[in-house]
Amino acid sequence: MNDTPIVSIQNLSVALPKGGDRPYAIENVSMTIARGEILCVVGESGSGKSVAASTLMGLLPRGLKIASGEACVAGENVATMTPERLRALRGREVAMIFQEPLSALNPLMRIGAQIVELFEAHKAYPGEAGRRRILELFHYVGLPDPERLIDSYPFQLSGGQRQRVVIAMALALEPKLILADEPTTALDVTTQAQVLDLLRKIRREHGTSILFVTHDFGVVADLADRVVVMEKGRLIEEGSVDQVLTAPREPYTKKLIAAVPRLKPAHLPPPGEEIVLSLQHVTKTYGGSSGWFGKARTVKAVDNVNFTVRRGETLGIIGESGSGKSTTGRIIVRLVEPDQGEILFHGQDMMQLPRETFRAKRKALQMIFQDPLSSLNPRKRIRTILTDGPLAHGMDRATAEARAADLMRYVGLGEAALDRFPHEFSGGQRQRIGIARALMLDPEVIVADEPVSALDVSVQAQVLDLLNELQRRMNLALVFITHDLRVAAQLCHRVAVMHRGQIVEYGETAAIFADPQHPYTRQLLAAIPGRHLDEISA
Amino acid sequence: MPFAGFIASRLFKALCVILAIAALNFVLIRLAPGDPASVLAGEAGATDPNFVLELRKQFGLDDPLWKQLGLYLWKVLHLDFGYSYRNHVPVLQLIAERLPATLLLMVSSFIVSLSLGVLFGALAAGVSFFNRARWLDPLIMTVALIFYATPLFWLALMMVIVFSVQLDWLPAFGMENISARYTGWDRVRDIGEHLILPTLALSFFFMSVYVRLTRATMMETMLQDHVRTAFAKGVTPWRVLRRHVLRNALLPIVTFAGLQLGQIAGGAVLIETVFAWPGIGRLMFDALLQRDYQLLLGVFLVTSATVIFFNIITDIAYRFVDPRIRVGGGAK
Repeated sequence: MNDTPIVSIQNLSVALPKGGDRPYAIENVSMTIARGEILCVVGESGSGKSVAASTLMGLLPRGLKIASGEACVAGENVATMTPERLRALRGREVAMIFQEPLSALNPLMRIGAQIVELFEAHKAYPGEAGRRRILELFHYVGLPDPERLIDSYPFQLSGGQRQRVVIAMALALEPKLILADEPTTALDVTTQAQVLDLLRKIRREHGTSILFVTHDFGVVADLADRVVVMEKGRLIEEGSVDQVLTAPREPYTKKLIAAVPRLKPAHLPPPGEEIVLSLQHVTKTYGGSSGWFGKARTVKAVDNVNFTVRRGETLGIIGESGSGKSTTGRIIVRLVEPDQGEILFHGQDMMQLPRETFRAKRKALQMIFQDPLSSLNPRKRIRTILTDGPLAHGMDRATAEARAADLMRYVGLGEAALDRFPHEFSGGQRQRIGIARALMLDPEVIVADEPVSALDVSVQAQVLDLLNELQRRMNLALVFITHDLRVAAQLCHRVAVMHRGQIVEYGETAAIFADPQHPYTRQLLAAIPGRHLDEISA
Repeated sequence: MPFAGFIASRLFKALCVILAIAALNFVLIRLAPGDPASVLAGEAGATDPNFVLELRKQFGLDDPLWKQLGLYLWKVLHLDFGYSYRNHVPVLQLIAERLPATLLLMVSSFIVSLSLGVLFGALAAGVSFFNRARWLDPLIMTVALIFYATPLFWLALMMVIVFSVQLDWLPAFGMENISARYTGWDRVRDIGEHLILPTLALSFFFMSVYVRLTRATMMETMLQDHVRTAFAKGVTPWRVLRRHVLRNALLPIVTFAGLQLGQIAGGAVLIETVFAWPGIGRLMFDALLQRDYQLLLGVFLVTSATVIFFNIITDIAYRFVDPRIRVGGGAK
């Protein structure tokens, strides 16, 4: 074997276009990756963690330029390569796996043809040999029914399947190095566990080096040999995975590790006795409208769901994408009308109320949405966003504005924020605005649909603290929808695990985490990344 | 949905729409003041009200409106569009004589505007993609803007003045040189020469729209993740541009092409008048002036049917370029 490291980055600085918030995307960064090693690059959004990976492929986003230093693959500097040499490198010696499996494949090309294109670019596996190689790869990455998939279009595959296709494509020519840019962030936790397994297997069986970019210390604990931590374009800490996780030197690293929610369920103050909200036999079926000649297909998004929430209680609805958890949340606030079942609010069936009466009740049931950017009207000032609801419910303007000012202080943004527009805030701040908006109407029930999943870990921890505190103070019944069992463990009194529209397990958080009964719950718990992390820090 | 079922359902819907249009046209025309009988009587110089009544009776114009409408629709269903009393020929025959000329003009201008528009749009996007000869981009866009803003008939007249009157390269009007009595390929060439100016005049507006649309969608597509994936495979930029950027940018272009085919029939009236092109647009214009109602209704119906037909073609083209529509169904 060759002794030169597969990757050697020396004093690399990449310049941002003029007028950015800082001159360099990454500044004076050095790192190496040995053959067969998995290096995790960890950082929050804007840390420049993806830039090093793009540099190694010569695929920097438009506007970014190498200012100084070198980035070598197998001893050869990428920055000085000719375009032809660079093309020969891409796909054959270095391959990349991207974050968004849904958009990484060309929607108009068959899966097989997209991999054949790679073979054609490198004059490998001509004709029938290409097809055989693809089938072999699909078997290897665990795709079901390769013969059918090879002629499918991307939209016919699930997110996890598409990511396997991208991985198969990356493996196709047995590259020496795989660059993986948050490849599991968009995936469900069980799929993520499978993809991580697959990457470990690839390294074990092919000796491939992997540069893995992530924000998730749980994933780091499961996968990495070595870790580098990045903050604002600088490499601030580097070491073996055990060293960084057990004895981090930098305060920033300590903060990031501490921000990962622990798996051990937290001790929460007991909720009240009074049942505020109760769902009984709620069912919602989505059906494609039948065409003139076709038969309609129907999906039971929510299938006979029952649960109760008491005053001051947080109920976690846990599930993966497509489990029906978001539809359930939307049914509670009646953004979606259920087909069957009762939604009892203080014992009164909301479904039976006439439209006008329900409108008055609506303010008691509020929602916090997942995407803090798209759920705030970009053309309205925060003041209008907050006061629109109360004004519609007949509050006078002075009272509404006073309340808005109070709440902005309460969520930690200050009164001055009222005159600004949503785009002037960061993701975490926007989510605080979303929370303030839900509180404006003095609700009794809040449905929070993945309110922290779009946020960085450190910001996530702050927002969770805020939610926790306000729930206690206002004695809210909180329905917390999440795919993240760590978050659920820290926040929820009880959890309901949803799978394919049904609640498969429902009970006290501590009891379910300690002794899951349903196989699906066990599978979910086993798939949580970084269980190892909890043992280290315990 | 299977292809045969899709076609069957579309054709059935199209038939319903055509009948509805026929009924609407019929009622609209009857709303206009003065019926054919009074026009005919007026032109004959007759002032005797009994003569007008006689005419009405003769043409069935004294029946209640719903009865006339029913009869009309019944005849339309049997492809009987009535008789033009002005020209003393059946309407269908008149339309059949004129329709090919209009279709020829429409199709040739459609092909010219679409192909040149997409070509120049792709060129404008391509130069910034390859980061070479970037000055071409603003140049193409400026020329496109000028064509976009110039009135169609003015452009047509200018082209006649320059290419026919001054340079004497191309014939200024008509569809062919009848006195020369060309046959075979000579005739094709003759018609081709006559076709050039009206086609160009009709194409420039839509061409500039295609240029802008193609450039904009391609610029957007370039930023998509799957284009980066293609680069990461080591595919050459030229191939990325063709197979990944242009191919995906074609979807909105197909949408617009369908709209253009519908619009072009309206634009043809103007161009056919300027260039004395013996098409259906001129026929409609004359029928309108002469109050030849049967003919007018016939022309309306045939142009609507053309639009609907091209709409179906667009939908079929969609199935062809977008597998998500062709194959149907979602994930899993």
